[in-house]
Amino acid sequence: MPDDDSHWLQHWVHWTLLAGLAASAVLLTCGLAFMVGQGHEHAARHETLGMLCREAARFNGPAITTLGLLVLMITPIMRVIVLLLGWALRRDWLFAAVAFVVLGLLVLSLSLGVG
Amino acid sequence: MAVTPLNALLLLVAGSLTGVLGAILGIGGGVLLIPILVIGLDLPMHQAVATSIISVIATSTAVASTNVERGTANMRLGMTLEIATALGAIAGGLTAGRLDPRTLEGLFAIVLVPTAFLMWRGRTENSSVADHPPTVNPKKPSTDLGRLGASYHDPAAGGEVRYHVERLPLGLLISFVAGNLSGLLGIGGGVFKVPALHLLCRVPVKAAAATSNFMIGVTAVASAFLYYGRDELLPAVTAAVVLGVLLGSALGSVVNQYLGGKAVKRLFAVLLVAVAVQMIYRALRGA
Repeated sequence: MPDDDSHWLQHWVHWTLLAGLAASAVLLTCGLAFMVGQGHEHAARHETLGMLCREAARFNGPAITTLGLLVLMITPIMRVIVLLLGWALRRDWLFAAVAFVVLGLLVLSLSLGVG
Repeated sequence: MAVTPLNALLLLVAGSLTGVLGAILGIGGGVLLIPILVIGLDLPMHQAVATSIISVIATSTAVASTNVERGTANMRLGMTLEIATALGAIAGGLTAGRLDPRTLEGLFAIVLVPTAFLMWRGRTENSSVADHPPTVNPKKPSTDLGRLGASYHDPAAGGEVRYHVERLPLGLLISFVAGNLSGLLGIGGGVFKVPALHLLCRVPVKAAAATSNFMIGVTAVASAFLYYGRDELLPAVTAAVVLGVLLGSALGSVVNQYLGGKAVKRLFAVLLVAVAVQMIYRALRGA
């Protein structure tokens, strides 16, 4: 294992990635099954995350599918946040700053795309 | 593309095929997935790239979770290089939005040729450790690994492998180019990054492959939002392909034990060149 990254941090990153992947796989499978079952051939665009979640709670196939994709897209961002917090807790400010810059770039991309 | 039950099945099969071949050939899915979606299923190029970017996030996440737990992925090096890959991916994603589909197909075809060459030579993301035995750079003592150096346990190498990282600026430059290709064309770029990390930065191949994979998820997300914002991400199509790719990757790692030979890689290198020729023809015909 890398010398400077203690095992608990690796463990947290591992579980963050695994949890995100598992949650998105479940949502994508259910969403696709509902879409095919309900006869939806296209997924409509939802204006806000709240609307998307409300539709998904009503077992709307396209909404569940879109939510699954968003969970998948957010997973690597969560991994960056976990590492940022982990390195900050260890007072490893250099790499916490590096993680902060990466997070900033992802927020920039989010605002350029969706904002 | 409407997602009828038949289309969902076709997309699932296309994703599975990509996952299986990716695992056998030791490359990410994009290089194989995009021709299948564009030529095989007639999906517009931008939508195929968006689909590929999301499937790359899925496979990268699955593999990275294992590599991080094993300690082969160098998280400090990966995060540092992610500054360059994310910048490159944003630039690539923005550029893709200004290009017409045929131009994008032509660019993709051009990138396929060096990929096929590297595949022919056997230099893929998962080149065997036996081909490139891990070495510690002799210029510095093994105790001084620097801020980016690391170590990992490798039974195949007979114990702990320690290394430090050289020529970081070159690594950042290559990472920017790889990120740019990812944002522009929907490929992971590992086929370029792994040899560069190994040959230029002196990172052992196993750690280079794991670190490259670790970076791909963040790189892909950096451009995914741009495609999502332009409505080029088709949720249902992407969902079917992602599930297929995940299933195929799992199956491929089993099949790989029987079919991972050099002849198979060379056969697919020739196939990639044929696909490149067809995509260049389509690009020129549409121009």
